[in-house]
Amino acid sequence: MSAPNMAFNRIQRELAEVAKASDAEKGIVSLEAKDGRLDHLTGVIKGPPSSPYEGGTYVLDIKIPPEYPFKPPEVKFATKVWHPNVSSVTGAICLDILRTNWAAAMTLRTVMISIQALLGSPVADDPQDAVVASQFKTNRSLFDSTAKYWATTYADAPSEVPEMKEKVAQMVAMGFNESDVRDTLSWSGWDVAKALEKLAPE
Amino acid sequence: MAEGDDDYYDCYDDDADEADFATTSEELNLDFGVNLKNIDADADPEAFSYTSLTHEEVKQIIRTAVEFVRNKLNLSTGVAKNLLIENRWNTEDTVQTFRQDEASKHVPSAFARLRNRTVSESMSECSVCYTTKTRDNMAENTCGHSFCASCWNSYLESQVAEGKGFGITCMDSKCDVNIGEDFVMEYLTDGPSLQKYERNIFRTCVESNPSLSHCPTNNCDNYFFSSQPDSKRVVCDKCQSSFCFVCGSEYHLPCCCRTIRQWWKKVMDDADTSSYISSHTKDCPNCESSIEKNGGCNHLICRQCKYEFCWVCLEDWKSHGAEYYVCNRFNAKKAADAVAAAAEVATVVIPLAVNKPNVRRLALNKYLFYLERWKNHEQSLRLEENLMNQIHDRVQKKVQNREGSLIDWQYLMDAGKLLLKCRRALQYTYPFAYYLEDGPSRMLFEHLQAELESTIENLSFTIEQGDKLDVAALQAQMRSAEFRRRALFRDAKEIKTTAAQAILQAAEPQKTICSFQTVRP
Repeated sequence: MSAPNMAFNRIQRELAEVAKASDAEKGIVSLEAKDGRLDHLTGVIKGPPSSPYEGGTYVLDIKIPPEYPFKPPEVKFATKVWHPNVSSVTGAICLDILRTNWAAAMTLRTVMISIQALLGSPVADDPQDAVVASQFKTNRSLFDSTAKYWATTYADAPSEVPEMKEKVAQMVAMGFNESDVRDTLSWSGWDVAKALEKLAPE
Repeated sequence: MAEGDDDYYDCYDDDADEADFATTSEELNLDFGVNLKNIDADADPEAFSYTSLTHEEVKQIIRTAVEFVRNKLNLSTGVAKNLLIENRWNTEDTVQTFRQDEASKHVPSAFARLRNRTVSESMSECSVCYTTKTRDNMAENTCGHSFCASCWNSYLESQVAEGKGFGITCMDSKCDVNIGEDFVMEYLTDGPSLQKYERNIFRTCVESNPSLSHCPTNNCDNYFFSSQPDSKRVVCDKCQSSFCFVCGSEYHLPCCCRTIRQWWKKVMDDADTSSYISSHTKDCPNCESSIEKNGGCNHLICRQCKYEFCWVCLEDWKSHGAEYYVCNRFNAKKAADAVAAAAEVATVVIPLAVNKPNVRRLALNKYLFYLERWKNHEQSLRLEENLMNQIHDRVQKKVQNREGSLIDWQYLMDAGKLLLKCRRALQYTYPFAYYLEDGPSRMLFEHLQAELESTIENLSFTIEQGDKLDVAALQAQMRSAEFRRRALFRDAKEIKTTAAQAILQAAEPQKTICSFQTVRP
């Protein structure tokens, strides 16, 4: 079997390449080993321009399997994101190159670029999160503002979505946990009554 | 199949079981007035000729075809094999598609140029492990992408470990060229992985070749060849298992592979639902909504149309006025229960949300009708297998008591075999009929089915008579049964052919439910 040694050599080279490449303008911010471990990395990408994620900073959690690069890295979002191909709960990503279409000659840099591209152009027909995907298809403007609200809240994007912020504040004032309120409101299409029913049945 | 494989074209009727009962044509005009003279083994719609092959023989067939394509197109054996798998081992198609497709992903001419280019640098970097290697340590696939030998080995090993054989693609991120067998053999060094790879690719070769079939029994290494592949019965001469040549599951004519798969799935999926609906719900006699009664008395008020009726007899409740809560079709005990429940006025009625309830109910009833008959025959088949054993014992005993030799009692064995054969056929006519569309062809089919059914019931009865049995009557019944079995299968074949034409004309394959298949999917 492929020695982890080989995977580590390659990872070190990949880290160095991302570090020296002038990818910043392309949206790849950084790729670093977590606690010095080469099998668990952290990648940071920017939300693509002219998307609801614009200005946001997204952290990716990257695990390297021992068979790497013959098996794909396991990548998920550590930052919460509202996107049809990303689970709004776990951050799991639905992307072909992370599963069947992985090729050994691909690199973590190409993976990060692909994920950034995925943020900019969602594929609603191959969803990871059914709630988000159906909203994306049926109510595009609500989807856009929810994604923007999540970007502001979790990814430090500069834009503001005042009406959503207000609804959250209103429910937090009733004594609910803020992050539960955000999730539940988003899943209920920002219908306060529905969200209340879910958070406090009966 | 490959040209030059003439050895395997000669098919003999190995199907001992099928050939066992060949009605001899000496008897004419039987009691039912049909001339059986022209019924012989060749005309049996269930007859199927195939020959069994060893692992080595199959390998030889594969090799011959690969060599043919390889020589014709001047390719490596690996690429030739991949092409044949993709073209389902039709050598003509393979050669033709390849020539038409010369600019596509298999094109070796372009690759050959790449292969022969003069390499200036003696060292190069493998873009998978990022190490610099001498040119000798690099290996190039037919697509021209080059990686180091140890990366190829690790990659191939991990792919084989995932169960892949055919269809391992190049490591390059934008390349989907299938890696050929010869390349794998050269660069995969791990012994067990290599063996696994060979097994995988061999299996793919057999499965992609419509003329070949393998015994589905675990660890039975027996293969079959037929020049006219069809979904007919194969009996393995090594392990005696019996299965369909095309799909490898239980033999299922007159149903085609797709129909029977659909039916099995339906029977599995619907087992609980349908029995629940049939036993717990009824249709409102007025508006035909499906109603589940989940408690209370038998005085129901439909939520949809407000019609009041009796759950037991489904009559208007007004007619029950004088004998409140007592229905005359009710049995005594239940009637008593109903009276006891009289105090409980509240009745709960849940109309199940369905668009066209009567249609749904009809469909369900239809399904249950066929299912019940399917199961009945299945049950009879099991009982008659026991009967067959009894016959066998009986014959043995008679021979021991010197009441004639084995040959004298052969007719009894034949009768038993015929009974089982027809019973099985009948069982599988039910899914076939279930998927038939209404119309004259269905009526004819069901008529033939009913005829066979009644003959078989008589035959079964006669055989069970034991020693008192009338040999002449038995033989007449056997001829009748055989004749009707063939008529039924011929008709089924006719229907499938018509359905095939209908599909071709309509160019809408999904619509015709009774499909047909002569080649492996």
